[in-house]
Amino acid sequence: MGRIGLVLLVSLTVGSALALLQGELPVRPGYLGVALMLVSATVARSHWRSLDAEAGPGSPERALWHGLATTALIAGHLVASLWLAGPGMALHSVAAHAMAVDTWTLVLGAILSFRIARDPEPRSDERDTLFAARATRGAYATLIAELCVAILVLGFGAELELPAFSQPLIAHVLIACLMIASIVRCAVQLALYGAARRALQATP
Amino acid sequence: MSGTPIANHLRRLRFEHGEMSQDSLARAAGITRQTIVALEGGHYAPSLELAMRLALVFGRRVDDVFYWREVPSSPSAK
Repeated sequence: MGRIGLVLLVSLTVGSALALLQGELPVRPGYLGVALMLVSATVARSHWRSLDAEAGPGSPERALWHGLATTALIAGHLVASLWLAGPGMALHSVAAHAMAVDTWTLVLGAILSFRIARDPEPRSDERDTLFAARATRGAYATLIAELCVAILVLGFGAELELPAFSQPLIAHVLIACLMIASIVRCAVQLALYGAARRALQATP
Repeated sequence: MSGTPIANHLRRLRFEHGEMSQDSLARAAGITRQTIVALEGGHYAPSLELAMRLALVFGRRVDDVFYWREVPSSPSAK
């Protein structure tokens, strides 16, 4: 669980920092994010290659580590960009266009880095499907909780004296909700693999 | 993942079949090496289909490969 939390925290922090420091960076935040993703994927692949066959993660686990890191980075960037844009974010504005260009650049980086980090000989079976089903239940519960909060905020926003949210902002918040549910799915499934590994190591 | 009530002879059968590696067995059965590790450690009970595929690799019947740790009482015996 420690490694999962660490990867999540670092990815969210880097993603947020890319958005918050965009005016102070020598290059576009999206390009920097892509470079970080490619370097991280290369380092992860080298690390997994150095492990012996007994200790190395399986194909789904590799994909989950990559999904956790890249989705958290993009989500961190998105949420921080929305924070900067404010509640009245307009679709055709300089800030929204910059956010869109950087976000799609990061998505491209995630796809490219997956080609580096993935198992060259992918294999999965019913045990992976079982873990995936449990993780999907966790993601579903997260999504329902997020929608309940969104319903309350949107429904009672006027009574709570919250500022009016623009439609583009609400749309992007819903995208962030989907990304958070995806992060939870990756984290839960990785936690299940970790628990299974610890149980095996504890077996005499 | 706690231990399951079903154990198996996979490790012994692998050694009887030319010291077959876990990865070789996994490839022969079309599954991952991690699942073979979990099965041999008694931390995963396979589906009937997977149990039959594993038995097929060794040319055995399913109950030659898998067995109850403790036979549960049959509902009809009550």
